[in-house]
Amino acid sequence: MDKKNNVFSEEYAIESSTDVPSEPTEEKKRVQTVAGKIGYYDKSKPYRVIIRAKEIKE
Amino acid sequence: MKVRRRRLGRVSQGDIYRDVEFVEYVAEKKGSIEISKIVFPFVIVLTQDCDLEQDSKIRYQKILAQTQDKLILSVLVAPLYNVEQVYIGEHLDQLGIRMQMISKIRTPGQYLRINEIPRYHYIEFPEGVAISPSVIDFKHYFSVNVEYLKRKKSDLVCQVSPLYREDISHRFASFLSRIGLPEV
Repeated sequence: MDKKNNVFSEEYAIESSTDVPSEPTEEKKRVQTVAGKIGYYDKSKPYRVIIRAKEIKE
Repeated sequence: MKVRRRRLGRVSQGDIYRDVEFVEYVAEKKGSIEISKIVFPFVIVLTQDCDLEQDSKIRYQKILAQTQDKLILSVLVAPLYNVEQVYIGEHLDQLGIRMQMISKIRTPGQYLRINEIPRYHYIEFPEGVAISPSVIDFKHYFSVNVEYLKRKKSDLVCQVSPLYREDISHRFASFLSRIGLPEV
């Protein structure tokens, strides 16, 4: 299924919501990496994702 | 700390997985559904290994038994936070949570690194394991579905070796069983 049309996918959430996901910006990733021991992974901190589905199919 | 990289083929105590999701809530409003989840970069499995082994035997090896009382419903895990971010209290800032700073060079930071703070367990990984020095936060433990973790085989980073994982387990049990006394 096309992820943008799958109501439970994160792609759909990005399309249909304004407050998700709260991942680090490129700037923040760079700063963390320059700090050396802080950055080791693109998503080095927990972040929240909210998925909103417009339709419930049973 | 020592780690193992061989895979047992099942979820085991001390496993460290990356990108593990925690569902905060699922809400339904007027025919729409909203799911909120937190994605943790790294978590460690805290459930006792004997429980995980027995669960795996019944769940996957289809051992014939009259009862399935050894099945577990979920696996207990705790998040690992990058210690450098913990020092400055910013490891949860993307969740809107500001944490207390722990001075890296003063006594609190030293206590953190020698595991004298009951809430935290400090670990350093050997070369070859792409995880920075981290702390396990016992207060933030949560449970995840067994099948979900089983399917995340490709996200298994390493497994903490038995002696070290027992130390973590023991400290976690101590933290959970602490008694909070009122101020007098």
